Amino acid sequence: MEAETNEDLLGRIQDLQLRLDEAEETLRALRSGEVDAVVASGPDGDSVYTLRGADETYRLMVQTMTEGAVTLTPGGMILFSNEQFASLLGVPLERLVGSSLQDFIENAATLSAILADSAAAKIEARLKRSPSASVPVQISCHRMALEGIECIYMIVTDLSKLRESEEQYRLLVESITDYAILMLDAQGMVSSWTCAAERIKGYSAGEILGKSFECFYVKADIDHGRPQDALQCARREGRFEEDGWRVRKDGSLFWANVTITAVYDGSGAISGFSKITSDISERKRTDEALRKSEAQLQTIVESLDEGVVVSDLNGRLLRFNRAARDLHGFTSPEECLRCAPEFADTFELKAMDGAILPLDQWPVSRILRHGALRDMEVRIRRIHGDWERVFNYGGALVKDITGQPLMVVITIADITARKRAAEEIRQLNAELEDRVVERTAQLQSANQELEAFSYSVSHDLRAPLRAVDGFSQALLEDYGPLLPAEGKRYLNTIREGTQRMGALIDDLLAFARLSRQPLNKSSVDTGKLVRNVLQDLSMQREGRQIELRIGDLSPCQGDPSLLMQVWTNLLSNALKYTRRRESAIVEVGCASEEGETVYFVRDNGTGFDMQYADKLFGVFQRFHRAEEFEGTGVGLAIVQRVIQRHGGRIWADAAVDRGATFYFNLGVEKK
Amino acid sequence: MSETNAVEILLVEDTPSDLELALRALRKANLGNRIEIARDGAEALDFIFCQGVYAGRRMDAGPKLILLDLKLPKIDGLEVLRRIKSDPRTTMIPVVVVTSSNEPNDVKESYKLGVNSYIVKPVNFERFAEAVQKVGMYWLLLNQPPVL
Repeated sequence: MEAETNEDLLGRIQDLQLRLDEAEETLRALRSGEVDAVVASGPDGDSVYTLRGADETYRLMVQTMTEGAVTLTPGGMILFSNEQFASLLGVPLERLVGSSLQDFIENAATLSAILADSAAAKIEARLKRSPSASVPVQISCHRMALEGIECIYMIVTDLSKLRESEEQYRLLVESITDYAILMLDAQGMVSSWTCAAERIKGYSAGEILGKSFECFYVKADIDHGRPQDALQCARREGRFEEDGWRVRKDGSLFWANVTITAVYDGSGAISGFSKITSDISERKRTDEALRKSEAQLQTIVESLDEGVVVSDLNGRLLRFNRAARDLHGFTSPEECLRCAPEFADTFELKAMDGAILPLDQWPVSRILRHGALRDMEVRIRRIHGDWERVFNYGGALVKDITGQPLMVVITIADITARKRAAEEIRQLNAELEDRVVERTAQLQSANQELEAFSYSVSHDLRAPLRAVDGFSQALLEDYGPLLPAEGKRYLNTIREGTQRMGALIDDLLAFARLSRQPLNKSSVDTGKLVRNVLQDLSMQREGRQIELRIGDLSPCQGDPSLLMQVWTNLLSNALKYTRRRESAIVEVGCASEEGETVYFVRDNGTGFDMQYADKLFGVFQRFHRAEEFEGTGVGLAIVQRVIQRHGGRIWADAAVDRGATFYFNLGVEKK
Repeated sequence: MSETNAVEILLVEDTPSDLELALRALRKANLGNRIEIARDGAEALDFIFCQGVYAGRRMDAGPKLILLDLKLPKIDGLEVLRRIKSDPRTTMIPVVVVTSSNEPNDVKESYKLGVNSYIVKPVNFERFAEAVQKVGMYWLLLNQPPVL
C-alpha cells in the first residue's frame, strides 16, 4: 500500500473538519432548541431521533391522537409523522421521514390536490398500505410556515371503520327486500336507491336518481299536492306516515305503507328525507279477507236466535249480539253497554227451584271456574219491574293459541215458552189423571148400579114369574078335573109364557154380567176347552147321530171362562140347528191368515139367509120361529160381546138349508 | 125332647107366593107336618135363638133344617146365615139357601159363611117343587145329623 499523499491527508482533514462543524452546529442547534429531531443516515438507512424537551404537551397530543399527523414540504416530502400515520400505512416510523407522500397516495390527482396551493381542504383519498392494501382516509390539509419555510400540515383520519360500517349498513339496507329504503334530498329528489326499491317500484337506480319522488304518486294525488304535503308534514313533525296507492314504473298500482322521516345535518337544518315504502297489497288483501270474514262472522252472530254475550275475565260484559239484546229487553247496543256494569243490580237470577243465585253461581262465574257451561236453566227477573223469563245458559272460556284465557263467551236461549208449555202439559196431565180417576169412579159407580140392577132383576122379576107358573100348576093339579081341555090349554100357555120370560131374564142377566166381568187373559188350550164343552153338551148329543170333526186347534190368549161361554154357545147352536138332520156334521177347526188365528165352527144344519146376516148378532134377534128352534136370541150376542172384548172379530157364512159356518179371531197376537 | 114340639123345617121366606108354593111342595112330599115359618130375618133369628116372641122355645127343639131365602126384610138372609153358623149352639144345623139370586157373589158369600147348600129357585113350578122336595128329603131323611 502506498502511503497517503499530503493532499489526501489534507482532504481527509477538511472532511473531518466539515463533519465536526456540522456536528458542532447540530449540537449547538440541539442545545438551543432549534431542532427537535435529527435524521441520521446509517448503514441501515435513515434514522430519526426526536428530542425531548421541545413543547412536550403538543408533542404528546400529536403522538397520542388517533388521527395521523404529517408535516410535508410543499413538494410532498414527509418532514414529520406521528406513529398513527405510520401504522396506518403499515410502515415503520423511521422510514417515513424523508420519504415522499407520493409513494403512499394512490391517486395522483389527490396528491396534486393536497399539494395545491389551497387552504384547509378536506380531501378523501386512498393510501397505500403495505404490503398491498389500501386504506380509505380523509385528509385535512393546512398550510403553515415553519421557520419561514412553508409546509403542509396534514391530519389523516382513517375512514376504513367508517367505510366498513357504511358498507355494512349499505349491505343491510340492500338486503331488506321487502322495504324500499331510499333517501331524498331536501327538495324531494331521489338521492339513493336500493334493489328492493327497484323491485317494489320498478325503476332502476339510473332511471330514478335525481328525479322527484312525486312520480311515485297517483296523478290525482299529485294534482292535489299530496307529495308536497307529505314533505311539509315531515318537515314540521319530523315524520310522516300513511297507507295509500302508489304507482310503479309500469303504471300499475299497489297499496303501500310509506314513512318519510326528516334527516338533519349538524346545524339542525333538514338535509333530506329518508323514505321507507313497503308493498302491503298482500297485507291489504289479507286484511280485506279478514275484514270480510269478520263481517260474515258478525252477521252470523247477529242473525242467531240465540243470544251471545262476551265478557272479559273479570266478568265485565263487553258485547251483546242482537238476540241477546232482545232477550234482555234492551233496545240498542248503547243501552247494553250502559247497563252492562249494573247488570247484577238490574237482574236477579234464580235456580229452577227458586233459590236466588249468588254472583259466584252466575253463568260467567261458573265458566271462569270450570272452563265451560252447558244447559244451565235459570229463572231471570228484572228486580224493578214485571219481567220474568226462563233462560238456558251455555258457554265457554275462549283461549289463545298458547292456552291463555282471553274472554268468556256465553250463549243464551229463551226457554220460557218451552217451560211454560212443559208446565201446561204437566198440568194437563195432572188434570187428565184427575179426570181419569173421576171417570173411573163414575164407571165404577155405574157398574155398581148395574150390579144392583141385575141383582134386583134376578130376584124381583123371577119371583112373580114363579108365582104365575106355580099357581097355574096348582090350579091344574087341584082343579084340573073341573076344567075343560081348552081351559087346561090356556093354563099351559100361561106356564109356557112364564118359562120363556124366565129364560129371557136369565140370558139377559148373563149378557149384562159378561160386559162387566173383568177380562183375565191367560194361555188357553183351545183343543182341551172345546173337548170339555162338548163333554158338557153330551146331554144334547144323546141319542143322535152326530159326526164331530175336531181339527188342530192352536192355543190362544184369552179369558178361559169367557171363551168357554163362546164355545158353548157356538157348539150348542151347531148341535141345535142340525137337529133335523139325519146325520149331523159339526166341524171345528182353525186356520192361520196373515198372522191371525181364525177359529171356525161349521154345521150342516138349517143355515140362514145371508141377507139378514147383519142382524145375526143382535140381542133377541132370531131367524127362526120359536116352535122350530127354541132360544132367546141372546146366545150369539153374548158370543160377539166376548170376542169384541178380546179385541177380535166374528162373522158368519151360510145358506138356507145348507148349514152355517161361524168364524172368529181374537185380535192380532202381539208378539 | 118332646117329639110333638120338635120343628123339623124352618122356612124363612118373605114372598107370599113363593112361601105358599114351597109349603105346597113340602106337603106333597109329606114333609109338611112340622114346618115353622119366618117372614123376615129378625123373626128367623128370634125363632132360632129362642128369643123375643119365641122366648119360651127350647134350643134343643130343632129345627133340623133351615130353608133360607136371601132377600129378606129387616135382617138380610146372609146376616141370618152368618149368625147361625157363627154361634156354636146353632152352627151344626144344616142351612140350605133357597133364593132367586144366582149372582156368583151371593153364592160365594154364602159358602164362605158356611152354608150347607145353595139352591136357585127355578121359575118353573114343577122344578121348584122338585128341588124343595129333594132338599127336604135329603136333609131330613138321607143325611145323618149330628147327635146333640
